Amino acid sequence: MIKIQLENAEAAYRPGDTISGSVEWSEEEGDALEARLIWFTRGKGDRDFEMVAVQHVANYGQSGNERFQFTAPHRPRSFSGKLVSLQWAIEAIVFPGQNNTLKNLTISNSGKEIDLLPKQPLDSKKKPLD
Amino acid sequence: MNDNPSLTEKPDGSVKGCMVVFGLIFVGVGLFFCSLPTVVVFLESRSSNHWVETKCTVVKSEIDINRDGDETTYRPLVEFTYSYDGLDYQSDTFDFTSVNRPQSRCRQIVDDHAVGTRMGCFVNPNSPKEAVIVRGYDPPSLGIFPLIFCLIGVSIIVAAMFLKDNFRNNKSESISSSAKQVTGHLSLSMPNSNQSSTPSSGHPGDIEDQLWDQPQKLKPGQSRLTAFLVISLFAMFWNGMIGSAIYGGIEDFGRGGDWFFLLFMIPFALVGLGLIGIAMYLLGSLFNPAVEIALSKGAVSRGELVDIAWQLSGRTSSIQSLKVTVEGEESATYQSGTDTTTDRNVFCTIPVADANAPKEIEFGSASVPIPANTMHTFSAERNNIKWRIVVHGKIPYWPNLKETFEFRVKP
Repeated sequence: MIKIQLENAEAAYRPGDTISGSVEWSEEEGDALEARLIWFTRGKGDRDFEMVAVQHVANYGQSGNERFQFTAPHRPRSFSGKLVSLQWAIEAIVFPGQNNTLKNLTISNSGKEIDLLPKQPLDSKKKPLD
Repeated sequence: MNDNPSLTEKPDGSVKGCMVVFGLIFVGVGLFFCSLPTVVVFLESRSSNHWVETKCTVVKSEIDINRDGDETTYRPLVEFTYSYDGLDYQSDTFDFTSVNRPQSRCRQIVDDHAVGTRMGCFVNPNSPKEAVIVRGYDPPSLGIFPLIFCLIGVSIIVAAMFLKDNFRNNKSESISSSAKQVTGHLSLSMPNSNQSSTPSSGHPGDIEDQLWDQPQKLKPGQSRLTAFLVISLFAMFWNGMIGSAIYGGIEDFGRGGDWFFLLFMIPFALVGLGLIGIAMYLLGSLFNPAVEIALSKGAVSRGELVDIAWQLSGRTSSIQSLKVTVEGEESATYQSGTDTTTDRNVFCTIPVADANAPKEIEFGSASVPIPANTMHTFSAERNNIKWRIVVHGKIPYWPNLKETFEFRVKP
């Protein structure tokens, strides 16, 4: 069993914030464990995925816990649209079996994912022509 | 601000050159297929000028029908006997025509040369076993396809010539002078080399943003010429294939064949006609005014204002109304079986201009706020967020003007 705990219980971060927490595991067969900061897409399209940062657990045993710390990148921001959503997460993965666990989080200025669902059109300020 | 922009350059010279070359290729292919059989038989008939005329008698006259799969060919089989230098010979060469003739023409030849007819024929004195009744040839029956190739080629060349004049019209009114009218804050120049454009290390998106983070002249997202050429080529390929099949089907039907095949081909023929229609539409759009767009910054932060200027050149008087909008679009690409499909959705539309007056259509500018709570430009392999300026001009009884210009929104 693998469990991820974030220090920020709301799991909402602004770009540049520190994302810290711990990974706890027990009775996990394997040679190594990694904590990763990743994003992936969800929605109608096939999945895009990027591993932005990775932290290797130094002393891996069958059970234990380890702290991790990442800096929230300033792009891409978490968003949700009609076709595509982008989700940030901390992933803990054991090798070679690749048993894993995800903890979702949000990275944006407001702490909430950007909502792309339809809104009223905005007005532009027309300049007078000479 | 740069008051010495490079917009007065004519970047379309290469485009027109490509059009002329492309047109010439079509004309060349058409002429080649038209002329090749003619040249061959012409050379053969020229070499028979010294052949000696003698009397001959037709001993066999019928139409030789050769069926090979779906294809049926006809030739007049006229055998005749003649004497030369005291020896008797027989030949079945009517003339020097090397290509197939229509059935009706074969019937006419056979009827004119009934068995027992006495007439003159021409013998090769160097090889008396060679003889013909007519020292000439029938004009080859080439079908309509080489002609279509020639016509399309000529149309493209004429279009290129016309475009040349069209672009030349407004050359004297450079956008640089118009730019000065825009209160001096909007540069219509290409990126200024004095400004920082050296990308720093980091996320590829940051590097792109830095490259775009200065005054920009934008290029249309898709070239009208490219669209026209791609569709035209496909239309020609499609109609060539379908046309040949239908032509064979009609011939078979004339000989009492099945009508089902022709019925089956109707949807394919309609698709072919649709493709021709689209190609004609795109050809018409080549004559639409050219659009130039300039931005105060090519990479805009969310919540910032961006200055947008547009200038149209060419037949601007043909445009009844012009709409300029900024759009944010999400796109998702997915695999379904062997098909790859991309779905798109415009999640943000910001009106920039809705012009009806000729002066406003020809040139204008506006400041546009990019929403603070929207998504920045995002590029991944399968999923994307893109921002663009859409220029849509309504032209009565003519393909409408529509151009899109991509820019970037920063996080």
